[in-house]
Amino acid sequence: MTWCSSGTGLRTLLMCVLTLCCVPAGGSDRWVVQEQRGSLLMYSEFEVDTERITAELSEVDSELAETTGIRATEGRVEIVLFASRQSYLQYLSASVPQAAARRAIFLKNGEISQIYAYNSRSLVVDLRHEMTHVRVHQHMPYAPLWLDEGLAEYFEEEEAARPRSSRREAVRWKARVGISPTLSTLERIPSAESMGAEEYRNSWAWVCFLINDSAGSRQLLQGYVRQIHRGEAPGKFSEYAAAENSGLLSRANSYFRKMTFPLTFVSSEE
Amino acid sequence: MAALKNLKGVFSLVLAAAVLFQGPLAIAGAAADEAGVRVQDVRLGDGGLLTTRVVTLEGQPVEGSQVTVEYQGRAVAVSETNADGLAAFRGLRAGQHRLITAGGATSCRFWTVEKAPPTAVNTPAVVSDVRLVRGQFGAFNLPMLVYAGVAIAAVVIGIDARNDAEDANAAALKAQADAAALQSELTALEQRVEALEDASP
Repeated sequence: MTWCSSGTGLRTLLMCVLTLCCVPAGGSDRWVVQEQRGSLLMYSEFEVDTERITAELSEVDSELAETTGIRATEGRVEIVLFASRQSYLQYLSASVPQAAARRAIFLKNGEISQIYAYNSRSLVVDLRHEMTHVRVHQHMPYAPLWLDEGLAEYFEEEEAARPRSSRREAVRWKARVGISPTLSTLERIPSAESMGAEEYRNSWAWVCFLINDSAGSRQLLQGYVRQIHRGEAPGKFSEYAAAENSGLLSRANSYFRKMTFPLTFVSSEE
Repeated sequence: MAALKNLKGVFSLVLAAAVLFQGPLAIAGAAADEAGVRVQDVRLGDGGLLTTRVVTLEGQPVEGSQVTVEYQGRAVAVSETNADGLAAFRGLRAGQHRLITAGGATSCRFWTVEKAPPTAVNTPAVVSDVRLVRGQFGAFNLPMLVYAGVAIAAVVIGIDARNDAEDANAAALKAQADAAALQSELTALEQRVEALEDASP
C-alpha cells in the first residue's frame, strides 16, 4: 500500500512496466531450439526432435490434402513449445486465458498462425491436432466449429491408430442403442468453449463418416470445403448436403453402428 | 483504494500487452490482415442483385450486422443481416467494390452474369472477425490428478476404516453383552448351588 502511494514506489512501478515492455517476453536465452523449416518456425524451451515433428506435420498436410482438399499454404506458422505446463500457463495466462483448460492452443490473428504446447507424452498428438486447425484456417476463410474440431480430432491420430481409437467404441455402442450423434445439434454449438468431450467425439464421428463411408460422402465434404475456400457462403453443411445429395446423410446412423475405417497397412519391419 | 485498483488494472493491462506483443506472440499483429488481402470475384444477379452472408470465423451467421457496399471510397448501399447472416442489395453495378462490416472489409470484383468468370461466387462470405483461439481439449494436470486421486483414496479409506471401526465396536459391545449374560448365568448357578448345599442335610 505505502510503496504505491509514494513517489518512489510509483517510479519503481513505471520502471518495471517499461522494462517489461522493452525486453521480449521470450528472450533469446529462453529458447533452446529456434529453427526454421520452410514456413514453419519452431521455438522450444527444451530439446525436441524437430525432424520427427516436421515429419508428423507433413503427414497431416498430405492426408488433409488427399482426403479433404485442404492444402497447406506458404503462410508463416509458429510453434512454441514449453518445457512444462507451468511454464506454458505462465507465458499464456495473461493473453490467452483459454490456455488454462487446454493442453495446446492454436491462435490465428489475421494471416498469422501460432501453436502453443508443452512437453508431455501427448505432444505429437497435440501438435497434429493444432496443425490441422492451422491448415483448415489457412485454406478456408472460416470453418464451421464441428468441422474444424472434427477434422482436428481425426487427424491428431496417425492413420493406423484410428481403428483402435477409444472414441470408436463409445460412438458404436451408443449408436447401437439408438443414440447417434446429430449434425443439427453440432451445428448449433455457439462457441468452442461450449464444447465438452461428447461434442468433440460427435464431431469426430461425423468427420469419420464423411471421410470413410463412401466416395460420395468424401466428395460431399470436399465440395463443401471447396465452396468455402472459394469465398462462397454455402450455409450449414446439413443444408448443403440436402441440396447436393439428399440420401447420403441418412446413412450416417448405419455408419455410426459400425464405425469402419479403410484398411491400412502397417510395416512389420522391426 | 480506488486509485490503487485503477493502477493495478492499468498495470495488468500493460503487462498483458507486453506479454502479447513481445516474443513469438508479437507476430500476431493487426497489420497482418492487410497482407492477406485478396479480391473476391462475385457474380451479380438480375437487376444488380447481391446477397452476402456475414459469418464468424467459426461459421456462425451474424445477425444484425450492418454491411456497406463501397465503391471508390464512397458508400453506395447499406443493408443489415438477418438471422441467417444474409444481407441483400439491388441495383449494384460491375466493378471493384468493398463489402464493409464492423469486423473488417472484403474486396470484391462484381461481375454481370454474362461476363462473370467461372470462379465467381454467388453469395460471398464476409468474415466478421480476425482472431481465433482453438485448443486441444482435455488439459491433463498431473498434480491435480494426483491430488484428486489422493483425495478419493482418502475418502474411500476413511469410509472403509469407519466401517471397520463400527464393525469392531459392534463386536466388542456384543462380546460385552455375551460376557455379562454369561456372568449373570454363572451367578445364578452359584446361587442355586449354594441354595442346594444349604438345603442338603
